[in-house]
Amino acid sequence: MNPFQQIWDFIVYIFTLGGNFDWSIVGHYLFNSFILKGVWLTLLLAVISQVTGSIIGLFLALFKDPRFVVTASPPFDRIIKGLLWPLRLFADFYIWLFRGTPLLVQLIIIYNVFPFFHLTVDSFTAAFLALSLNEGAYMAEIIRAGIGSVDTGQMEAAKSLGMTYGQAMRRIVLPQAFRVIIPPLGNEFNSMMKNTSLAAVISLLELFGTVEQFAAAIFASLELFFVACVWYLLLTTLWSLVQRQLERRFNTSKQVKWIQPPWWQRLIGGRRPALALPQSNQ
Amino acid sequence: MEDVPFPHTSSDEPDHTRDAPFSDRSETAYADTIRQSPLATTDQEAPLVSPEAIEQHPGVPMVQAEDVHKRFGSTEVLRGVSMTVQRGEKIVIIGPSGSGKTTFLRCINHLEKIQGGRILVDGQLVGYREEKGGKIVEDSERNIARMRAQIGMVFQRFNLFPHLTALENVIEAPTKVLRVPKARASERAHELLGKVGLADKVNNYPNALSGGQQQRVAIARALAMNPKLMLFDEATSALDPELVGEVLKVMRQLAEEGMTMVVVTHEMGFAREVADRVIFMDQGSIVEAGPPNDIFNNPGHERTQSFLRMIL
Repeated sequence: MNPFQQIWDFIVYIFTLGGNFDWSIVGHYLFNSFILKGVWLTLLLAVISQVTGSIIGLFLALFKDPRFVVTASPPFDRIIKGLLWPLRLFADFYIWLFRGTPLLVQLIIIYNVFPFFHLTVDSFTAAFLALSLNEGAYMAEIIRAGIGSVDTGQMEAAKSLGMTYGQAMRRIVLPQAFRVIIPPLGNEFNSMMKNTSLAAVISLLELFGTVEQFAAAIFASLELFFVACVWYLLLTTLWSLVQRQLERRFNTSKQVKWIQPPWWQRLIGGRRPALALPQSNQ
Repeated sequence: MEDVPFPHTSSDEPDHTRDAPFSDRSETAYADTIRQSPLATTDQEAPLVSPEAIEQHPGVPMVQAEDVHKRFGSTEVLRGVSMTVQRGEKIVIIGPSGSGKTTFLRCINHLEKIQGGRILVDGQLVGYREEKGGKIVEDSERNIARMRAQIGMVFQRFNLFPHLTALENVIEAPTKVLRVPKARASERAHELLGKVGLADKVNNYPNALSGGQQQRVAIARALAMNPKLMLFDEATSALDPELVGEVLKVMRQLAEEGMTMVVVTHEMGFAREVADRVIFMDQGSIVEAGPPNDIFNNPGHERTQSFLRMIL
């Protein structure tokens, strides 16, 4: 036997784990319709949980901000001001609780707690709840750091122009905080897409759950888990490309404003953006 | 304007003056401001200040501080500061660092809370209101914002909004706070930026502007709200010396047009030329006050003399 044949045999041996790994199964299940459904469910669950978690995190971060004020007319403003410290306490408690316990445990508890209140909840809703609540605790800290990175002078300038706390936050501080929030947010979404696999334990048929079912049915776990890996890698890689684009878009410090052509023209690639030069009106 | 009732500090009285709540301020009110003011013309000589900003409750001082006390933790920063600023007066506050002059300025528009005394701007209590029974409590966010909208402030570090162009910086507050339609606000913003000499930089972002240009945009931004009082917190201290002049020029123009100004600065030349009164503060209290000639040429107090010796 010539050495090339020997090397080739060796490579085949490694890649089929001595004949125990059947690549045809991988090929067969890679684009199976149930698997694809699982991928879609994973993506959907990840996106809505991340969005909801971010919103929860935003509110928690605002509650913890020492400058936080609720705009209300007298006499309600005094009442609400008195309610702020329990709100802050609640935020601290919430973050401590959801960062301090494992996501898997939270998932199982949430899934099992509803029957006690004579309510039924399906796996998807339970998974969505658990993932969002958990994510809220982490996003709170991330958003707090983002808000803290914005110079305090910005809020002061906005206030001195007559903006309320809410207006100043929405128009001035949060847009600037977003630039700092994007990298850790990207990280969190990456984790979120993978954490959805935990929902398999509460019998949700997302990607990992589906793969597990097939693996049990055909006694070919290794090949099917490989299929799952391929899909998870695809999702996370696509997201990392999106994240890089987002970071680039928010990091370039513009010098002059460009007038963009309308969105449909940008899509078909018609016009170039033009420099917004001031019109001479005098 | 003759029958102006003495201004109350209670906030349940309906307000019939220009300081009416924003919901009463119709779209046309701001537009009328522009139509009536000389700015409606394209005259280069037209003023920065709209006349409407100047006519308020005549006879009532613009700023009245009564025995203001302020602490930061356990350190007392303002120890009983009392002063009055008349309408159209230009006050310059000088003093060593740590004297409380910047803190006092920030108390005027309630960027800092006070622990004692009162501050009234155009007859209205700032940041606080009187409840039934005479108790003074902190005012609601909305009322404070309303008061602040009538007071313009220019900061040492400019504090321009970096994610907005110069034009957008200037129209941000009028459109969002006063709910002026964007076209009107843009028109006014173009005029103001032209008056401060930045007509060709309206679409530049702050990071493309020099310090002096940024500060001039900040002044235009404050003026876009038609304030009746302008506060300057060491507006030129963070600028390179050659850029200081252009900002002082705008401040001087503002002063000439009759804006009430309270300026904290180290620019003694500016104080000498522009101030109606100079106030020297040290360690949280007013040491001496008077016309610039008196203070600079004949300082009475020992501390004033030693401070001026160091500066001049």
